[in-house]
Amino acid sequence: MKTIVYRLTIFTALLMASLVAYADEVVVVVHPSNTLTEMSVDDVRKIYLGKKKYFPGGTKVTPGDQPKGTKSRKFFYGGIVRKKEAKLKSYWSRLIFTGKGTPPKIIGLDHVVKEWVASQPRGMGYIMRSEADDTVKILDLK
Amino acid sequence: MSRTRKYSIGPICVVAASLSLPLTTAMAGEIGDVQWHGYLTSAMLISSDGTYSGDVTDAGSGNDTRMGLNVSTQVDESLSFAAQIKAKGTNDFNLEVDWAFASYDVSENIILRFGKIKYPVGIYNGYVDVGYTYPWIRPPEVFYNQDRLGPNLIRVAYQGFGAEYKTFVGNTELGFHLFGGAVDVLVGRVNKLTGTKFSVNMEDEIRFEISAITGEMEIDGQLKNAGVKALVDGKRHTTYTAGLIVDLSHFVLSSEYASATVGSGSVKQLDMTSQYVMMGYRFGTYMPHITWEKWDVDSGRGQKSIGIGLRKELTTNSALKFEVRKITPSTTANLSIPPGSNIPAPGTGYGLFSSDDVKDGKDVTLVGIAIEMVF
Repeated sequence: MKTIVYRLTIFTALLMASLVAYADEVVVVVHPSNTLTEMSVDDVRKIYLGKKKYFPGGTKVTPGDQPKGTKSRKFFYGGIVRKKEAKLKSYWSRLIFTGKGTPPKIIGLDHVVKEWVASQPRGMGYIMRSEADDTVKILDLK
Repeated sequence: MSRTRKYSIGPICVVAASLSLPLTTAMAGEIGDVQWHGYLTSAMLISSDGTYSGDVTDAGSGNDTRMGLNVSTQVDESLSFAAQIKAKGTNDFNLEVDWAFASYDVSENIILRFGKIKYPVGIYNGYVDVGYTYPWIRPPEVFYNQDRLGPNLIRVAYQGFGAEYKTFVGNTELGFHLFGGAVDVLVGRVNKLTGTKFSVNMEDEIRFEISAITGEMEIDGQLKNAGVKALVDGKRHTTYTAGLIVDLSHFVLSSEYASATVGSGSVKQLDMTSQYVMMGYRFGTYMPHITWEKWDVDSGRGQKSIGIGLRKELTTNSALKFEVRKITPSTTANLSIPPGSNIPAPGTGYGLFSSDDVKDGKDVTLVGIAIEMVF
């Protein structure tokens, strides 16, 4: 029994470490005209859970999402938002069916999100760092 | 008996179609974007004896089967609109507007709502028809029941306004609600309804809320029992609630308590308390759970129950549920007001059972199975 617990602990630690490491490879991007250069992880998390509707500073934010199954989404929700898909579904269902919120709109894969953010002054998205270019601004996460 | 309005599906389809038009013209996430969501519950419950909660008998009942469709849109930067229609077995699947209201964001912290709004009281009340969001086939009836005056929380929406203030202390969200209006209930209407709620949400892992609601009862001609009518009509109905949810990675605990009073002075026969505790533990996609419930009316009517259930996640959008409950109606002194009304008349000693064949202290078993989905 101790061996099983020990192995499970190691496995969980490795899994969490890998998510955190990969979370670093996912970047949060905004429109180049956005004056922000950094944002706290907590604020990003609150925006993607519908708890905040404004950027720090007061401008309304429109977060864009990726479909289930993408690498970016897996690392973003696992490492930054810290919610599993089943709990996320339950969380949003509670808000949707009381009329108190809707999840971020699914925009598409990395390159579609990047193009969408580049065209949305209030937009916000997440993509793999390797997909980012100067059409969007990468926010430093604190 | 129900005061639920019936609607033709035709006009609703036209409205739905017109609302969906912006989907073709607006970019995702922009103002004017429309989102559609829905839920479906297919359920069967069977009782070993008696008629429970008006419809569950030893012949079984599929009345818990229900479905709903939800639409929401951002009208402009501050104004949004959302509405939900539903059809339930308990209402012969007649289409009804569950709720429909506009929200106005005064600021990041203050939201005003107008229209037909779900009660913001009770942990599960707002989404009580959406079975996917909770462990049971039915949330505890001693707490969530619109068919009786007594069990404290009315599951329907009220017509009126609501104001919500929320702020963060670190990652802990504090919320404060004020609301008012009027609401139709099975035996009449609650006028001059006012309520307040304070809530604390610690990263969705621990949520706590307390609330108070009060209103003036107006009983209509559907209630034939003159004795009960005299106890209720024109009287103030006041409810206090407290609720807690602990939702960790594996362990789940949910508990609520409510105390309700009708009238004042020596008229205490309909004063009551409701309480339940549920605990569950997630093993991967399986979550076994156990629930204890108790409902006490000052007249002596009430019930307690203990139930076990299993929830199995089929996909991230659907779940299968199985439940077994043992319900024990409690004994009461006969206060000479006969049973048969649709509110818990003093003198009828069989909890939420409506037939005479379930007597004081007799255990009844309820078994249920359900499939839930959201989309």
